[in-house]
Parts: sequence; structure tokens; C-alpha cells
Amino acid sequence: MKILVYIESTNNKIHPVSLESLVAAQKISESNGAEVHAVIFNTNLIDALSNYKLDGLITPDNEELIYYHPLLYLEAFNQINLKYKPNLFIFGHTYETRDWVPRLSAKLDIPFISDCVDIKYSDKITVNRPIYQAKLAQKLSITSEQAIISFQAGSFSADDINRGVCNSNSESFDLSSVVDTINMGERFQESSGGVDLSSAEFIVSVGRGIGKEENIPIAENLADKINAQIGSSRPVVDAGWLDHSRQIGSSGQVVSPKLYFALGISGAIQHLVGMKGSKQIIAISKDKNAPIFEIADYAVVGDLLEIIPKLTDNL
Amino acid sequence: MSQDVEIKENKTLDEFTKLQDLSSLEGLGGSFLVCPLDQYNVFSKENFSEEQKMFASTAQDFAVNRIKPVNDQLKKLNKDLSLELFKEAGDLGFLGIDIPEQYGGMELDKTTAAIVVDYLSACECPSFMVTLSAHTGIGILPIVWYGNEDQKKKYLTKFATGEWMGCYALTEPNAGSDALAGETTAYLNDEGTHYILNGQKIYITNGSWAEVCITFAKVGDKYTSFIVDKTCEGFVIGAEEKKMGIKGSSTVTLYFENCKVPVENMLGKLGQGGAIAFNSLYAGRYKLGITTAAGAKYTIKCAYDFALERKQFSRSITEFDMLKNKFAQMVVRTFEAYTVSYATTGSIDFSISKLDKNSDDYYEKMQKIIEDHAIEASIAKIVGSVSLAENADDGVQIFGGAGFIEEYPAAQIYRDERINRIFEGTNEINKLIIGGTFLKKAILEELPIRDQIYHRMEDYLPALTFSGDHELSSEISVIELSRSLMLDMLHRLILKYGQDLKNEQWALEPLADIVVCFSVMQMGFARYNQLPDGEHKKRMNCVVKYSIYRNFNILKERINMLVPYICANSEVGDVMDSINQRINDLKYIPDAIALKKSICEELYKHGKYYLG
Amino acid sequence: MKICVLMKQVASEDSPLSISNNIIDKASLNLVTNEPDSYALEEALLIKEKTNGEVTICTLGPESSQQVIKDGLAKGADKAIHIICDNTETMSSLDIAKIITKKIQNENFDLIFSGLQSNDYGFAQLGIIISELLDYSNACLVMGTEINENKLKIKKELENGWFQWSELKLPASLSIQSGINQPRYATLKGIMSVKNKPVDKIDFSELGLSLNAGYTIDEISIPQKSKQTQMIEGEVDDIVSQLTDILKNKIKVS
Repeated sequence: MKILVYIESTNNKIHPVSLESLVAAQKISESNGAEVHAVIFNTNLIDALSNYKLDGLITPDNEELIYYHPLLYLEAFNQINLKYKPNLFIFGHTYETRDWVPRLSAKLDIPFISDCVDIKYSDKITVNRPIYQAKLAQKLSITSEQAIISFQAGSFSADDINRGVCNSNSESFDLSSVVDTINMGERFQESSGGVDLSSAEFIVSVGRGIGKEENIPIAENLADKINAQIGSSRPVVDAGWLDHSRQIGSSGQVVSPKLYFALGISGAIQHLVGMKGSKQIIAISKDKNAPIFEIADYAVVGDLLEIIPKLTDNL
Repeated sequence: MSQDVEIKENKTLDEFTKLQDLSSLEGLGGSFLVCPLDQYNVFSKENFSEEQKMFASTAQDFAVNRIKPVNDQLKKLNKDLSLELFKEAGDLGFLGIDIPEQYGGMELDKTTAAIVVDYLSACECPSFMVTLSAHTGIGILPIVWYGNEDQKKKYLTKFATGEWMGCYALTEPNAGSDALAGETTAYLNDEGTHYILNGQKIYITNGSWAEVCITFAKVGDKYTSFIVDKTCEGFVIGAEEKKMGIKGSSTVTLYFENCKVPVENMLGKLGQGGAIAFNSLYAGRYKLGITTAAGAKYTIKCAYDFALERKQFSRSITEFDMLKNKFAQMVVRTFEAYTVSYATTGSIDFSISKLDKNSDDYYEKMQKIIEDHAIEASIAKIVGSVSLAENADDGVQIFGGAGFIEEYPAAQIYRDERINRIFEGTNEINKLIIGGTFLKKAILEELPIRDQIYHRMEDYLPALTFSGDHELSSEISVIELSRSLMLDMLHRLILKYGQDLKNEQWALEPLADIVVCFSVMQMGFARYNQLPDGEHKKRMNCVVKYSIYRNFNILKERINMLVPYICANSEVGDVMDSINQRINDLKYIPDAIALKKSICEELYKHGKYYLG
Repeated sequence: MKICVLMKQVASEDSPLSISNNIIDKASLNLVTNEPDSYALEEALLIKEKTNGEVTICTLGPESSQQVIKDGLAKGADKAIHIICDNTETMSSLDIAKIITKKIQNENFDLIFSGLQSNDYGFAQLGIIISELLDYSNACLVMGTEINENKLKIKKELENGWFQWSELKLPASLSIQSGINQPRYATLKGIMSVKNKPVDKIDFSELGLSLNAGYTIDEISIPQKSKQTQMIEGEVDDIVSQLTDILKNKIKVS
């Protein structure tokens, strides 16, 4: 069996979920001896991978692959497939993956099982993935010769990566056949002066359950008291109550603080993805069925407007 | 009500024909009084068409996603936001349901109009619903029914979109329920171009927000209706009233100070004001039945959600049986309110659908059909407003101490609810209408009531075509016996008072109560009985049974009150004995507590009112 | 401008979920339009209004999915394609895309819109796969569109608060991010117009495709909790003192 892991670059760094995907591949390799290869298009980052245990690292000669372009990536992968014929392609379930990997599935005519959270091997590859907004889970066995899977952030820990030797083989892709119908523009950020929550020790995070904008200070007072940063779920940002830079989740920041204090956050899967790595989670919600309670260490079913001001005073 | 009816007393008992097929009365106002259960159908929520279901869902979407989130701001008087939402409601078509298509409306059936207010009520903002309903009902309908072509073109097109808001100004300081005693006057100016109005109208919903007002004034001794534009010289808007509830709606006094109204703004004919004033109110009543039913439904949800979280003696208070008793009754009342309101719109629509839409007198005939359903409209208004009132009261009680604190929703529901038993005709006026209309329909033989009195005297409990093992067979007997008792009471009252009965309020009120209880039983049974077998029907079984049980009890109590009052002393004992004998013969002893237990269990399973 | 919007019927968020023999009990589900798809429809309707275009809804699903079509037509779509299929839950995104592509390939749509993902199976692939099958340009997580003549500019949402404007050649398939617009409500007039709008209904078996997902579904389950959650209960003051203790002594906030 041959596994190919795609190493995505983001802001000229390796995307954390790519390393987690590599852990998944290594895990399979341990149980069935599969070859694990990796592909990285951003050649600036090759060195960062040189200490990992890999059967091969494919790197391109082509400069135009340094920056993401769906059609160029698609053609490059098409050529990789012809040469390497991996049984399993593994991606992180990132925004970039969503943008072009489904095309790859169509181009190669092989299934793409996206947003997985676990993988196992015994006779065949089985994966787990959440369905119905993570209220249910499904377990799938791959029966086709080749398949693509992608992993949700946080499914594996990058700390578990096996180190070792890695040989890189440079490939030259012929991309001349690609008809350019997509002209990618400059990337930009909308909010002024972004807040980096990824290094915050404590986070007090606000969800729709706070009720209205005027109640935001209740959360801010608590945050001040315990030296925490303010974070939020998407609806609060969409409503304009907090700046986009505070947003945590699949379309915001991914955080792993010592304490994540969720106020009125029900825990939509898109939010949980961004904070489930937190060491301790305290959640307050009126809804006793709120999914966030599933991953919380401490769950309070109650009215945060009553509890939090008193708690802040008490601390 | 105020005009005397001519009694046809020249018929002898033998002349009454035995009507075999009473089902031909379908669509006639009051037909429920005489149609036996096996010849009677009602319209109910279960009968909504595909299109009506979609109307419901778009109204609910708008209510829940657009209005409810800004509820906090609508609790206080907020003109800008209220008008903004009002306009959006117009864009979606919610304001034009009763307006003909050529004036930008939708011209849909009365049930659809009811559905829209029902599902808009999901906004849980009674203030906004009052604003909207005052516009679509008494604001718009007088012009739809009585306006001329120019008036319809000018006003209805803008009413449909929500560009203009309408209001209806009837009540005066010395003329409330007795509206015709109004002192506002109008006279034609020397040039013959304008009527000059003088007087004042109080408690006018939408008064300060509306561009247009329908009002009434005496021209000489002729009570006449006018359309007054806000821009008319001498039209003065008073200060906002400070109200007990629905504080987010506008209520003011309007003053006419030599107010110059162009002659072309007279609505209907000189002297037609009385008819316009009263007829416009009927439609508002059954719609109020719907909005109050919806209010009763949301009160259950609100109380249940609170109770579930509230812990005493380390368990949720929903586990206490006395609270279960309250919840079960809240469900039953909501069921009753919805049942009678949609039965009313359905019957009206049934008759309207038979009219020729292209005939010149289409709207006149439509208005007559609605007027013909005065008794149903009043019942819907009373049952709805009382159901909501009792649910709101239970709601406060379930909240306990929190029910008395403004921060929690129960207190506002309690304050907002109160007006429903007052406006659109007080519940007392509506009882007069019920008793009076029952009497009138009997005497004028608009319905074969006297036939039925005659037959029921012969056979108190006629055999019906239901199979013997019908799951509600004892309830069927209860309802048919109740009909006989009701007709018996009317008969005795007519014998004693003749048409003076309409002035005998001590007797008329219990009679109206009997009619209300009876209608709830009859319509509730019919709604249940026509359902296809299945989960929904199973869930409704206990509710309809308990509803019949509790209404039968009230009905018996009112009879106990009436008989000694209207029968000669020497008769009272015999009459009561024979009535009690008939009741005892039914052997109707349902386990009411068991029924309430099942109802509450079902409610807890769903977490909200579960019958639509 | 001819626009196709891919829409799906899914279980509402508050639907009760029960499983027996690895099958979800469908009868107990409360079925609604997949919320992300409403944003796709709204964006299509906005472009239709600007370009005097035509919007076609396309759904794949059982009879009950006609509700999605009716809602969409009521909101302003012009016509619909309903591919009847009762077991989409066992199909791969690729198979579903092949079915839809087979049906729409000759329609020459300028734009195909889809919601970011479905709230039930959540593969987030369909519109992008179709772009490859039909050789369209594509973009996903679209947060804004600008269309001038045949030029399409789109604003894409990237991770960590970054965005990117790109230019696409038509035809294109866009997967729309939720929140891009404010989906409209159906008007009463719109609802009444539904019965006059054409719906092209076809059973998927008539398309003559042989399909193979490439995987089997072995199990559907309620996820096991990985964490022990301690419930903090009681009166408000009680809760406050427990939380204070946890924050001060266990987590040791300063």
C-alpha cells in the first residue's frame, strides 16, 4: 500500500493539520507497512520536513506551484498520480482542500471521503467521520483501489509524529495544458490589527446565548478579571457585536488555551473544530442539549446573565 | 342587535317539517347549533392546503427570524422600527390578503388571513400583532366592503404595501360599547365641498402612526362613516396613552377640530355608519380568536421551558403533579381556541367560495356571510381571549416568584393578554351577541332551530349513524344531550321573555355560556372525528375527551343556574329532576385525572403544544 | 445569465435522531431546506435580478424534496429539476455529482451555485466536483460576487480571517459561504406563483448510470464522549461558588 500526504502551506508555514495528517499516515504504516510519501508545493518549506520519517518527499521544480491555484495543483496531482499511483491520498480538511480536491476526485474518478476524524487499518482502511452536525458518526470502509480522504483539524496530535530520514525527489510538472480560467487575486485581511488568540493562555468566548450586544461587557469584565482574551463564535461576529479577529472556529482561528470558558455557545461543529484542543473547557448554556457540553470538562446549564456577573464579583 | 326582529308566531307545531338532511346547512352561520354530529363537519388546521402550509411557513419564518430578535425594542413604543417591520410585512404580502387584486392585494380566503396572523404570532410580540391586525382588519375592511372605486384605488393600493397604515376610530368618551351614542358631528360646509367634523375618538389603536382613519359622525341624525386623511385640516392627534400592556403599540385620542373632510371621503351612504361600524368588527373577532390561540400556545412553551430548568426539592418542577394539571389544561384550552377559530373561517370560506366573484354585489354578499357568522366570530373571540387569559395566569403561577418579576417573560404575557377580553367588543358585548343572535336565528327561522326544539322535545337523544363501538360514543351522547338541553333552555326563555330576552342579561349570559361550551364540544368532536387514523388522532383523543368533560360541567352548572331563575317555583323540582335523570342515564363518568396525565405526558414528550 | 442552484432537503437541527441497525429513522426527521443552500439561492436570485437571468433549482432526493423546490420557486426561482432518488445517503459525492451532471450537462448553465455543505452528511464537495465534470472554473467559500457582462469577480474566504478577490471565466461553479447575504422570505404572491412554474421530474434510474461509491457504510452511531463532563448544578449562588473554586484552585487563574 502506498499513501501520499499533501503538506499544505499557509502564510509560508506548514499548515498544522497537514502534520496531523502525516501522523495518521504513519499510524497506518505502522500497522500494515504502507509506504508513506508526502508532497509539498511550497519549496521554501522542504527543510522543515527533513526530520520526519517518510519514504519519499515529492517537491516540484515549478515555481508557479508555490502559490495556491486550483487548476495547476489539479494537473500536478494528476501527473503525480500517473507516476506514483498511491492507494490513499490524505489531506487536511482545510479551506484550500475544499476548493480543489473534489476536482481531483472527479479527475481521477476515485471517491473522496472528506472531514474524517479517525482512521484504522485491518484488512482494509476504515475511517470515522461526523455526520448530522456531529450528532452522529459514521464508519466507512474503503473498497476501491484508490481513494482520497481528508482529516478535520485536531484529529491527531502533531506531537506524535515519527521522526527519521526523508529523501526528497524533485519532480518537474508539465503544466502547459492548463487553461487558465481562474485568476487569483491578492489576499487581504478585513479587520484592522488582528488579534492572535492562538497563544492566549485563557480565553472567554462569547456565543449567541449572550442575547444582545449590550451584554458583551458581562463577558469582558470576566475576561479582565482572569486576564483572558475575548473570543467568539461566528454568529456574534456576523451580528457585528465583536470584531472578526475574535472569531474562533473553522472560518476563524484555531486555539488551544489552558482554559476555554464558553459563554452561551451551543457548539456548532464549525466552532468546535477551532477550540476542541483546549486543555480545560467550561461551558455555560441554557440548552441542556448543547453539543459543547459533549466536549466540556465542566458544564453549567443555566443563565449566564445571572451567573457570570456574580462569578466575576466573587473572583 | 338594536333593531327589533319581527316574530313569526303564526306557525303551529304541526307545520314544522322534519328536516332529514341538515348537512345542507354547511356554511351557514350557527349551523353547529342544529346539525347533529353525524351531519356536521368543521374546517381545522389539519385541512390546510399545500399553499396554505407555505403561507404559514413564510409567516413563521418572518416572525421568528426577523421580528422576534428585535422583540426587546418593540416592547417599548418604537415607531420607526414598528413601521419598518410593518412595511416589510407589506412587501411580503401579509397586509393585502383581504384586498382585491386590482388594488394590489392578494384577495385570498379568510382562512389564509387567519393563518398569516396565526403564524406571525410566532414573533411573540403582541404589540406588533395588534398594530398589524388593527390595520388589516378594521383599518382596511370598511373600505373593501363599502368604499367606492376611487376610494379603493386611492387607499387600498397603499394599504396593501404598508406604505400607509390605517386605523378605525369609533369609541368616544361617552360612547364605548354603545357606539351609536357618539357625539361627534359632521355638517356640510356652505360651498358643499367638505364635511366639517367636530368631536373626539378615544383609545384608537395605530392612531398616531396611521395616515388614514375610518371614523364615524352624525350628520344631523344620520350616523355616517368618513375616511379622514391625517393631512386634513383640523385633524389633531393626542398624546400616547400609557397602557397596562401592549405598550409597543400606538394608542391615542384623535380630535376633530372643525376638521375639513372632502365630500368624496364619505364612506358608504349617509346614515350607513351604524352598519359599517358593526359589520367591520365581526372579521376582527375571529382573527382575534386566532391570535389569542397562538398566544395561548406560546405561553405553554414559555412556561414549560422555564419549569424544566427550575429545580425545587432537587427535581425539575415539571415533575410535580399540580403543575402537570396546569399544563394539561393549558393544552386543552389552546386546542379549543384553535378549533373554534378555524371552524369559523372555514365555514365562512365555504360560503364565500360559492359566490360569483364577478358579480357587482360580491363584496356586499361576502360581508353578509361574515355577518351571518356573528355567533361563531363572538365565540372564537371569547374562547380565544379566555384561553389565553387562563394560560397567562397559569403561566405566571408556574414561574412562581419569577412570574412577578418583569425580567422574566410571564409578567409581560400577563399584562399584554388583558386587553383581549376588552377590545373588538368586550366579552360581555360578545355574549349579548351570542344570546341575541341565537334568539334571532330561532325567531326569524334563519336556521331550523324551532324545528329542532320540537324534535328534541320528542326525542331527547336521537339515534345517530355512528357505529356503536365508536371510541367517543359516550361523548357523542353527551354532546347530543347538551344540544337538547341547550334548545330546551332557549325554548323556555322564549316562552318566558319573548324577544325581550335580549334585554334579560341575567338569563342571557348563562345562555351564551351554554352556547359557547356547546360549540367547543361540537366543533372539537368534529375536528377529531374527521381525522384519519394515526399518531395525530391518537394524541388528540385525550384532549378532546377532556375538553368535552370540562365544557359539559360548565354547561350543567349554567343550567342549574338558569332553571330556578326562569321556571315557576312549582316546576323547578320536576324540571331539574328530569334533566338530572337524563344526565345520569348517560352513565358518563370519565377519569378526568387520567386524561390530564396523558395530555401532560404528551406535552412533556414534545416540549411544546403538539396539536398544530 | 442562466444559473443553476443545487439544493438539498435535510433534517432540521432539532430533529430527533434515532438509529436502528445502522440506519437513521427517517420517519421521525423534520425535513427542511439545507440552510447553506438558501444562501446559494439568494445569491443566484440577486444576480438574476441584476442580469435579467433565469434561476433553475436542481435537487436530488426523494418525493419529499419537492418542498425544497416549492420553497425555492416561491422565493423567485423560475423552474426546477427534481431527480428522484431515495437512497442518496449511501452514495458518494462523486456519484451524486455524476447523476446531476448527466441531467444538467446540456442546459448550458453559466453559473452553478451550491451551499458550502449539507447539514446532514457534510462532504462539502458537490459543486466543485461538477465543475471538473463539466470543465467549469470554480471557487469555494464565496463571500461576495460581482458580475459585469461576462466577467465574474468573487471574494473568497480563506482561513484565519483572510480573504481573496479572484476573477473567474464563465461558466463557473461556486460554492457559497453561509452569511454572504440575507436570504429573503417567500412572498405570498411568490407562493401562489409556484403552481405555474415548471418542474422537470425524472427518476435517477432513467439516467442509466452505473455507480459505485468505492466505500461501504459499516456503522452509524451516536459518538462516544471522549471526556468526562462534570455537571455543575444548583442555585445560582451554588454554581458561582463551585465555578470560583474550579477557576481558582484547579485551573489556577491569576
